[in-house]
Amino acid sequence: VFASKIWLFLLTIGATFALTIALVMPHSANSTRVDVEHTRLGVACGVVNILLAKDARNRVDLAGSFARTPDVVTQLDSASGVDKLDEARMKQVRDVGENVMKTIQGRKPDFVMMVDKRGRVVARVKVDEADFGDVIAGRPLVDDALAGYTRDDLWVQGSTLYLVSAAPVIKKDMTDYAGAIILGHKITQDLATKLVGDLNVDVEFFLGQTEAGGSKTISFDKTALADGVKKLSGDISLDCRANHPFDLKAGNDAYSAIVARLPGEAGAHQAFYSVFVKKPEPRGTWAYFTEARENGGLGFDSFPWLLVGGGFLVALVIGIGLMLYESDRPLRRLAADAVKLAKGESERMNEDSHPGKFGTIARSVNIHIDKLGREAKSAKKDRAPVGAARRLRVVIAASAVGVPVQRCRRVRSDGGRSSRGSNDAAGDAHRFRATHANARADGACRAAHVSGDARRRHPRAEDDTAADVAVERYRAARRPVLQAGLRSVRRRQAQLQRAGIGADLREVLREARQESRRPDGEDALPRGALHRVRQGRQGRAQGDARQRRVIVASGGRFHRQAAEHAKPRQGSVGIEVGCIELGENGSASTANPAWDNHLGDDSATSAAWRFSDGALARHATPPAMIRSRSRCDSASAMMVVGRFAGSGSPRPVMWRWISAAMCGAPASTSGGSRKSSAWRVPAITISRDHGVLPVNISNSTTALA
Amino acid sequence: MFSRLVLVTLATVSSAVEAGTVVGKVEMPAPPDRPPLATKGFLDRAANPMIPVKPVATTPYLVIALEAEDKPPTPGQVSWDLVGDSFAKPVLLAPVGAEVVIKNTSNTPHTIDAAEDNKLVPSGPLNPKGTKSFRLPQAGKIYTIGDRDSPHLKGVIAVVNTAYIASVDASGKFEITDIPTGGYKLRVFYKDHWTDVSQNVDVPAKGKAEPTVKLAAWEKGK
Repeated sequence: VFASKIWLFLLTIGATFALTIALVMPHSANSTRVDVEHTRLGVACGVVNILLAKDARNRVDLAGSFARTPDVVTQLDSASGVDKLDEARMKQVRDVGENVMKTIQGRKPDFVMMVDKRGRVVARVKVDEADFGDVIAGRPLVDDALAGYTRDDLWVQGSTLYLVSAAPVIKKDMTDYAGAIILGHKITQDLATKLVGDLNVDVEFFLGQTEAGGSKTISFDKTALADGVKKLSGDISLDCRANHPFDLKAGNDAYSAIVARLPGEAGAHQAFYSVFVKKPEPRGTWAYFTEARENGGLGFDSFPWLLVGGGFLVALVIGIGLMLYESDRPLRRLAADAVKLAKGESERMNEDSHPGKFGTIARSVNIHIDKLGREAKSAKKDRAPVGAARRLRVVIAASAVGVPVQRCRRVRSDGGRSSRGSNDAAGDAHRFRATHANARADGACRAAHVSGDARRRHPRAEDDTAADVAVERYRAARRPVLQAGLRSVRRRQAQLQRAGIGADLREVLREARQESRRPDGEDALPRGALHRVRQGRQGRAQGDARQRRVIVASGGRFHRQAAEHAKPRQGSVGIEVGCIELGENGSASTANPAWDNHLGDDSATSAAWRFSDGALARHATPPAMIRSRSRCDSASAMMVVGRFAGSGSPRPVMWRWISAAMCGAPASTSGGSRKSSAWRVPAITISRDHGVLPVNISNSTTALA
Repeated sequence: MFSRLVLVTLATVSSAVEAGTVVGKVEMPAPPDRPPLATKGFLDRAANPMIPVKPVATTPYLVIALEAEDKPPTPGQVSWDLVGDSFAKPVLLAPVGAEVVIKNTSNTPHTIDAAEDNKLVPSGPLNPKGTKSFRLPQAGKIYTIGDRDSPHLKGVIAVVNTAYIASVDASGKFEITDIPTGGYKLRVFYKDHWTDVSQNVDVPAKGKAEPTVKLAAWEKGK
């Protein structure tokens, strides 16, 4: 997933970079816009200056035209020849001037001064028309005009700024000058508007801090303007290029402005003009986007959509490809490998085929598989010595999963008595082994049920623990029985030795010892199981405690009863186990017909077993033990272990009722002969309706294995 | 008026002593080039294509003074007319102690002062038809009288230790009458400075002294 992460990282960096650009660009764009505005102001200022010069040229030409008017020449030439000007002459000359004014097309002058060659004002038109005779020579413009030059200037008359132009009046004979014509034009809004034209800026003229006209009258901060003018120096014609725009306030509005000094005499009055424009509002990214959209900047013709879309698709394909290569495909391989493992098609996961973290998962699974294998081997080794336990495992396994236990080992090995005769040593040995085997089978069976019951009570308890506990308890209970049997065997051995058959019995005895004890004299139960029980798993098995106590107690009683009744009677030795069926309502006491037959042999025992008021009882001489077990209040099973005397009616010699299946059956013996060697017992179905193991025993004739 | 003042002065002197006349001429060099524009508009000035432009006028700015070692008689009043946007005479030579009376003959008020001594001219506007007078305290001083609101309005007063002063005409001639006999030193003032030209002139009791001075250059030192 390394490349995918790198790709994601790169994309994130790219996106962050793009976002940063998108956020920063407006600032840069705004700054650029301001710079552009400033540049535009400088250009506009220069343009205004050029237009003013052009206007000056036009005005000078107009003055020249005015001065060349014949009547003007005649009048001024005449006036120049007199020492004293009078009003009549003034009016005459003024009329001439007015007539000439009427002929001017376009913008007319705001005043006309008609000066004779001495510098005297002969007449004025449109301003101070009554004044005449004063000398205006001395002004540079007038002096130059009287000397024969045409030029322009800027005059300040009162608080009015005039653009002035002058031209000499030449005598008709071209020998001398007759005077000069001075034209003046005010700075008007119309003129200012024409000056800025389509420049999308405004211009305003100032005399110091006094407004002298402009395209738009705005109350600027005059101090800032004056400060801007004070910074100017050098050639006036370069002000627009040398000057830098500055911010200007007019109320709440912000403007960018540039100032330039005005030339001429007006310069002495701090005359200047300012070109200004409203400061552009800062704009955000969206504003630029909207502008681009409105201006068609997002069209396919003007925006590289194909490049952007292609880049996006490439990035997307690369990202998806990397995910497929690094994540999806390895995950599918791992899943397939896991499925194979689950199906048993493979024993381990192939670690090499899974890269990166998937390989780690595969290795972890393999490690766990190895661990389970080792533990299984260890558990198998621990439980191997005990044959009964091994068989118990089978039963536990079956009961744990609810598989009907269709077999409850039936070990019928006491046929020697009937077949070989009671005094036959080989028959005794055989019966001994049979007895021993029956005991083991009986214990295994009961332990199996106990363990199964415990498992149902505590499904989370470990199987091993429950089984081991059951086995342990069973062995603890079983040991005295075996010992009692051994004692009986020894006594019998002595008898047999006396009869000359001791050797065989010793082998039987050794085998019994080996079965019951380990060489070190300890119990053959797995140490691991005992250890786990001691280490605290007892708690989870506490649910089984009562049952175990029952088992133990009943086992103890079994042992005692067995010890009491195992005494050989009439040369017949054997422990018979069998099953009877107990109805759930306590009334059903029907046992196997074969059982009944046998029970029926004895009037004392042939009576039907039945439950009465939840208590197991028998109407005829019920065993005290059964009566004492009146707590058996549920349909359950009873196990009857009986030893039949050599002759006579079979009678139960001991009872042990447990909440488990009743296993075994009495041999069908009557009169010392076995009626059936293969005692068929009902099939046992273990259900899980109750906390204990209710057993329903049907009349099927499944043979115990 | 200035001539009259001079004549009156000379007449007064001649009543006590014998007086003579000096009629001289200043040989002037070619007119100087027109100085660059002090103030120009958006355009440079352009000579008209019809006839040649006039040369720079120099004689209005040229004044002759005859100085003697004796102290001049008590000076009188010197009148100086302000005619519109200029003085009638751009250069005025006045004896020390004389009272200069500036009369505004135009319709425009002015606020005049002396650039070299702002206490020389009484403060306040010089209204049309109004006058403003002051005395010249020290000989040798040159004052520039002007209006700060009208930079083009400018006149020069040179204080001299004599009352024998004359302007020159367009040809450079000048004449001073009723000069007491004796030796004098003729000096030439141009525009705003004394030229290097000086000449000793003996004024005879009868007849005329006809000095001719040659002005080598308009500017001093050139």
